[in-house]
Amino acid sequence: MNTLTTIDELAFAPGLQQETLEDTTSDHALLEATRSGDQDAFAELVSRYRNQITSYIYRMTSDYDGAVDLAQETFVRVYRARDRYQRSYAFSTYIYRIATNLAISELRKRKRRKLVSLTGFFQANDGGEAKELNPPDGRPLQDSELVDAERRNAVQRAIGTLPEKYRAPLILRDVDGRSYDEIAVILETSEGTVKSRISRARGFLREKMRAYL
Amino acid sequence: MSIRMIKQTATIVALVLSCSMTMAQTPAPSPKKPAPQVRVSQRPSAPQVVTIVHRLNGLKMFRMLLRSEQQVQAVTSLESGFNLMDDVHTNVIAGLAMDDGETIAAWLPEANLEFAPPGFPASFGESQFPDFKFRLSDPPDVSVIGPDGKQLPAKYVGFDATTGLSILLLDEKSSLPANAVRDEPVGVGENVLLFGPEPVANTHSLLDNNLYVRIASIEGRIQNVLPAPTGEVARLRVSAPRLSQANIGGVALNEAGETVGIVDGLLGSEATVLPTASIRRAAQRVLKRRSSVPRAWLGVRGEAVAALQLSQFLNHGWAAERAVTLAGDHRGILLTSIAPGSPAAQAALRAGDVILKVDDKEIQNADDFTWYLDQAGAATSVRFTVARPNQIDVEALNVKLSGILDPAAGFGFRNSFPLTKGLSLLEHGAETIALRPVVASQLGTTAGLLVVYVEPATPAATAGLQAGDVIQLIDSKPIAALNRTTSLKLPMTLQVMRKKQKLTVTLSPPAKK
Amino acid sequence: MKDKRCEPVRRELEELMLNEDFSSATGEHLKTCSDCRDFQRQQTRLRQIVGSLGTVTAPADFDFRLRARLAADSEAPGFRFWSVTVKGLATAAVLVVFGVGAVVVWQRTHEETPAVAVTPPQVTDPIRGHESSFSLDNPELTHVTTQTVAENASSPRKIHRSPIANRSKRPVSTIDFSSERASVVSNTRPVNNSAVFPIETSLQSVRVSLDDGRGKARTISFPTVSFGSQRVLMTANHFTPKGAW
Repeated sequence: MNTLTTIDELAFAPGLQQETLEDTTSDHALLEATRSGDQDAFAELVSRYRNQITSYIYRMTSDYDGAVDLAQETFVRVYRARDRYQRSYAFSTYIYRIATNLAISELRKRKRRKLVSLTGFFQANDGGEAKELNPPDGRPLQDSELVDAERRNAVQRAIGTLPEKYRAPLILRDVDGRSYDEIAVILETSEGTVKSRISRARGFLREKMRAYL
Repeated sequence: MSIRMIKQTATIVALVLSCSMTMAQTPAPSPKKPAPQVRVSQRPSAPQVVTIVHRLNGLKMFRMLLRSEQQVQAVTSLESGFNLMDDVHTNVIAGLAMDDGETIAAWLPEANLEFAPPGFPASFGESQFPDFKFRLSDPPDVSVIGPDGKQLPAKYVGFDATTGLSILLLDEKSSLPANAVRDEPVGVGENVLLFGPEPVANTHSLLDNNLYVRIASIEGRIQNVLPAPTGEVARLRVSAPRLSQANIGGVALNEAGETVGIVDGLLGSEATVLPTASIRRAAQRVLKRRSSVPRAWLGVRGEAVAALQLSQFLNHGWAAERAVTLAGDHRGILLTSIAPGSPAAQAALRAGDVILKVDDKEIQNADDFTWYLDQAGAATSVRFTVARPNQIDVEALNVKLSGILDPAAGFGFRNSFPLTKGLSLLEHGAETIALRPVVASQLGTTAGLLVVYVEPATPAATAGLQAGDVIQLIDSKPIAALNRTTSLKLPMTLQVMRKKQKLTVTLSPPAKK
Repeated sequence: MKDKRCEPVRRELEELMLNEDFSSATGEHLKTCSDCRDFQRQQTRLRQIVGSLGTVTAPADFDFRLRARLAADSEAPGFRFWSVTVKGLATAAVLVVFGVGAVVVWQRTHEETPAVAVTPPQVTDPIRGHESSFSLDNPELTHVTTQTVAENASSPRKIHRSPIANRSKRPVSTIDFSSERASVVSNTRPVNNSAVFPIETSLQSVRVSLDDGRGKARTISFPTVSFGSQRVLMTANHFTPKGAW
């Protein structure tokens, strides 16, 4: 049966990473169709991007439940703004920009919350950690897998300690493999800035992950 | 027809037309998805596999929270529109239609939410058997859907605590062809298929509220046949490459389409399967009683001697040489804790004792012990051969086992009992969760304790307390004013809000026998 | 030994994708500079680890939770049409879409729908309570289980009071998807003649915030659906704790 995910299970099925194959014309067409009231088309768009967007926001915020929520908010915003959407760049860039902004607002909100309340929302770390260690099928990990999972866990934690402005470029580049110009459009900044932030981010991570490198 | 209706109809028609035009233009949605067409030469058929839909409402989800590992005391916020009695969660799982055409057996993972919570005094002693009927406080919302998609009206009969299976009876004998059940022993290396419902991804899922489901199977192979000490098959272990938690409850069929068992757990990369003989026995037990059937309960925690380090013996007061002898024999179970008030406590068993035999049958490991106790059954007497740290000779001890419906209930999910601390009416039969003011007003009441479960035949039940009631005052004191150290003794008067009406409920101590 | 030549080399290494080759100049430099070799090794290693972070998947109920949000969203007016009031109409529209696609074969349900209409489907607006007829000249549609559509529309979802008795009588319309149109990335074999049937699930997943009594707050959200024994919460969900009798 399908490896479904629930709150604390992930499917690291490699196949899923190929979801960005759709060419931009097709995504545009779907959004056009949505504009004329075709919700079928919107549904298709959602199914193309929901995993990627959820995953991206999760990597940014280390909170799965929150990421699902924000991913949905991303689609809501896409839907709301469908009439205003311009074809000037790729849809994926557009939706990632919305997702990035939502993730960053969330991170800023969290920072403010931390200053105000003494009690931590321990979902933020708890939710993240458990995910990397729990394989999708609930079976206990073999030794080598345990090491891998531990490592992934550690890097996700490390990413969680990066200042916000470094997270998005790092994730977009090193997790998603996007090009610099695309990242620059998503983050609305220059390629040079993107490159230097990635470099700083990696520098931070190198320090944190010393033990694993 | 109003203008609005006309407009809506027009929009629908327009939408439909644009849909069909879109469909004519855009290629079928699937091509770029990484799913190759699975060419299957022969598709298996499984007429005995049904789909069970178990629905849980808000109250039951609160039970799930309270009984989970989460430390939960109060609900601080809820999404708006939440309604206690509305369905919040649906569990979709496989069921097996047995060969009598009317009995359905299924492993429902959330069946335990339908009855007593952990930490509940397991007070089913001999005086309450064998006639005691475990009444479920409210009937579970369980639907059965046949392999053709037709709904089959059915009633939940009961839960078999030994196997964890839920047994249902179809209202009408179905026309499901009775597929043969494999009774001869299955062999290691045999191929099996694990059948169960799976969601069908639907690109149109945004257009309606339904989840589309079909029965599918994954391939597996029998890795191991685990015998009970009495020789019969206790469990099967099946390895299947794409196993996941979604497969639990699935029905295992062999290549001839005969039922081999039901998946009841995952162990490593293998599924554990309950063999059909066990399923049959479970169904018989439940149908005979026409209610849930408890499992034998002793009230101990322990570990097989074979699995222990010497130091653990020493910790429990064993002298070194005796410990070495015991360990060398690889027999028995070392008891590590005894539940207060349990049959074990009443028989004066203590932590550190080692149970070597049950009714003169030797115990090699934990599974053996489980098997023998289960065989004896709830509310029966067994004779243990016990070795004690401060005695030279072994002792024969007669113990009257009691019964328990949810084995986790005797101990709670944590290694200590009593389970719940703080303000709790559990000992009187009511499972509650505190509601903060914001939440309470969302639910139409003021802050208080929401009752999520009431156990039948307890002071709470006798007094008429119901799940869904919100307790606002206990003995005229508001809940917020009571602190954790307040002991709640009977008799007790509760001021309760039920469906927007104030009621007074008085809990009295149970009549002494 | 860090010198001027290290900088451009490191910049190049940073900017290349992992599977790309570096320039010969960089290659030459790496032969002699152990610091840069270390840098390259660590960099590669780090990027491999980061790259190994897989894609997490959205939960099974993502779509219908989203739908609920859109329906409730006042700034997304388009979706108001797809609210529960016209669910029946929506279902009818879906039927037409399928009819046009001519890929799917409808099966009738049996005794539960004795009055399978040959007339255009009657759709009841549950909130308004009056009927609107919705006629289409589609021959396929006339054989649709109209009773089903009507009944579905008449169990209003907003007022979630679904007594058990009602539900057990609700007919289930069956769609045969054996044409694979709706197939999934699946490692399973669908059963022969496997019917695909809809299950009504709750509309909204629920988020609950809890207090553990010690000042710590936690937010849990319940998915609307789970299959088999997929964990709904992070709990031990087995019936027998190990080592307890």
